[in-house]
Amino acid sequence: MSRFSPLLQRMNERITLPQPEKSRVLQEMAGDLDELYELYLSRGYDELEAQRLAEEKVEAGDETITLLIQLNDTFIRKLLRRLSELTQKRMETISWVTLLVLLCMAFTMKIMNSELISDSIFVWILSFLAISLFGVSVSKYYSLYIKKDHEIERLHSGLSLIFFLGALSLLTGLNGFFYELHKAFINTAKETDKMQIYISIAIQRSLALIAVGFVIAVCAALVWFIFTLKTLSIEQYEKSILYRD
Amino acid sequence: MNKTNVEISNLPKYCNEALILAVLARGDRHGYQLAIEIEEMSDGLFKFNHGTLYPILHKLEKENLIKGLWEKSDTQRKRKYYSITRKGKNYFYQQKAELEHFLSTFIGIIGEKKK
Repeated sequence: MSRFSPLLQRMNERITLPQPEKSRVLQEMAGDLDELYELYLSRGYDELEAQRLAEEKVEAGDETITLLIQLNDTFIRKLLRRLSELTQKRMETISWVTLLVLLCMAFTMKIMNSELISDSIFVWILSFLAISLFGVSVSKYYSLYIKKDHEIERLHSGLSLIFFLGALSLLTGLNGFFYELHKAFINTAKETDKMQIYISIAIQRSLALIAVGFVIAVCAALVWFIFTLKTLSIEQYEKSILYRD
Repeated sequence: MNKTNVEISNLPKYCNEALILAVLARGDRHGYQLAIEIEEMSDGLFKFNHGTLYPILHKLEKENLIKGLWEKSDTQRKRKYYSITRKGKNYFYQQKAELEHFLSTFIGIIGEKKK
């Protein structure tokens, strides 16, 4: 760990910029700290004094941090910051709710017009899971790639949920498959003459359920994988800057 | 020189920018080199402590008056150094003329008062 790690860690917490802007600022400071330290050592200062003098030159005050953030921030964040915190949150909430309602409506209409329409409850469970997955994924995408809210402790939030929703979709599809088959065989036992019809309808529904469940699970796995890679790269980048000797 | 940037309200900021551009006009420098050089040339009168140098550098960079470039040091750490652009040089010469005019007027008035 570098002797300047505590200072860089402090600066990292105070500079609320998205990556890679934040890392660039920190990297510049880290480089200057090292050079200043060497310079003061060469001028006869002892290690502690050289470190103190270097830190005095580089560690920024509140006003300087604010200026740095304003100068290096992205256009979207600058625009958002102009709105008050409350307005920003309200606008975000309204946008998300509107988007989700529209998606739910579109998805429901699609389901109603498709072959998947049935009295099977599993269709609706899968629809709910797909919409939830979509909502969580869009929200995570927004925070990772657009808003770039890279607070280390919140980086992984939502990833487990994406994974869980994907796994649940696969299990729901499988469960639906067996349930529909089971129901068909019960009906067949009651009306043996319609056996062929019941079985063919059951297979059609069951396979559709398992196919949809599988597609949702694959999508969830892909999204989870991409977001995990992104969070890991952000963490690696932070570490490489802050803890380089 | 119809429009001038030299006003009492923004004089410290303007002077800081002029100091940085003046040093960069002599050659490329790292951020810390600028701070140390200016401090030594002014016998400690102009100090860039507590990170005050970075916002000025980043502002000048955003305005394309200077250009920040990255290089790798011997320790493999990335280091940023700055060089002045053509636009920056022109801006600096204008600044220099404005400051000379401003300061000569200022000194002239102070001189008058002394009489």
